[in-house]
Amino acid sequence: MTESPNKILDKIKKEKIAPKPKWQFRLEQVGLWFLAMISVLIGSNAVAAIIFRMVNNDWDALKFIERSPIGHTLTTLPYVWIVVLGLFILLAYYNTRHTKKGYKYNTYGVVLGAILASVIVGTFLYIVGFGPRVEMFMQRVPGMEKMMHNREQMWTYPEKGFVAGEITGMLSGVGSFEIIDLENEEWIIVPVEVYIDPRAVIEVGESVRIFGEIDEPPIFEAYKIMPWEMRPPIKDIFEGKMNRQYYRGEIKAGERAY
Amino acid sequence: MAVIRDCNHKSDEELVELTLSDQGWYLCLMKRYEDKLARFIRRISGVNDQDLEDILQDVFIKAYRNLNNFDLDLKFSSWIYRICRNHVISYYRKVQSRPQAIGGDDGEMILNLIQDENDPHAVMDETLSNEKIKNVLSHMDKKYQEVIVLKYLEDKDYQEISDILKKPVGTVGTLLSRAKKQFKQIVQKQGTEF
Repeated sequence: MTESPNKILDKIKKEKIAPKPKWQFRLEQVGLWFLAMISVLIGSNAVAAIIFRMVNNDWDALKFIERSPIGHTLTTLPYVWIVVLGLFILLAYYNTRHTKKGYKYNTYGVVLGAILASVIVGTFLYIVGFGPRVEMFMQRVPGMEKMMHNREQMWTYPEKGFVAGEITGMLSGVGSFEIIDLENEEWIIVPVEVYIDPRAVIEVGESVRIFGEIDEPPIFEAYKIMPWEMRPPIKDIFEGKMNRQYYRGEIKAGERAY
Repeated sequence: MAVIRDCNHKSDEELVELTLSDQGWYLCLMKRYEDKLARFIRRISGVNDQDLEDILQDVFIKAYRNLNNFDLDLKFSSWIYRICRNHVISYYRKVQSRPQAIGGDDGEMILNLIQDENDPHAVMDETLSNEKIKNVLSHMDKKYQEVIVLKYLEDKDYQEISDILKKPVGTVGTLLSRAKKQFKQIVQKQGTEF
């Protein structure tokens, strides 16, 4: 045994070294758990956006697009959101792992737990209508829109039979109505042996997708009318606010459709 | 007037509590762990005496500063070994060199301990000298070397190693098994050189 301990104790006394207060360590732990939870929450938003994207992915128009289901899936998968989800799962794992007892947790358990929590919370967020909000937020991030699948683009080819837009007026005649499409063109929709998706609401202010063909512009003969987006099980709690924003001219029709 | 403190019948955890209210008690903890930690540092780094003393001093001061972070669910020894191990790693990072070969006369002990619990077809020759074993250990990956030191020389159980290395117990088991495998492979590979 050496004199080291005595020397060290003298140094502690001389330099007035003191144990760090408990609250500092607690704060650090709380911070790590908070960051882990925030990561899961952001991951959940990504899940809500993924569900929203996949539900509103034109599956019902596949036969008109002439694309295989696998090809369509690979083309339209929300890769940006999948990457965001992956990153925040990793961040949640990293933060959890660095908590005091984090090393005791099984790696797969933590990762699976973070995924499961994101899926559960994300599904809830989608149900209450958060999906479109998240999607809109991401689209406003500079440069992000280019990286995301542009669903609208497919529905801007009336000459190929694809039109989408918002119903602006109901016309006399059997089920005819007016729309303003995604490129601000007006069309008169005339149903011809039409199949109307039961989930589509044909009312002013509603957004729809229409497959058909141009008769004589602006008349468009509709063969199939589908809603622009499927409503989440619980009505979008922000819809009212978004509608008001739309009528005030604060957001565009395309944004409102989301 | 000097205060006489009876450390003998006090557990580490009690001493931590006492130290937090009176730093004089820290002497007991330091005396209790001075030799153990010095041996451990030598085993995982092979430092010279001067560096060893510096590292040991830093470890004890670091532990003292972080005393309020000591978790009673843990053994104090695991906690201070963890601080020590981390400090040795940072020390070598700072001086930008790699820890040297295992120090001391521990080689033969490791060999015997590994052989004791292994199959009879083990490739190791009991006549391997201490120097040769040290040579084998020096060729091992750092992560395997330290797990061997903790298990066979420091006599730590899986839970303690898990707490020291901050790795799940299952990972410790895997590391140890791979460490033994690597040890044997190196012996086999270098067999002709012995």
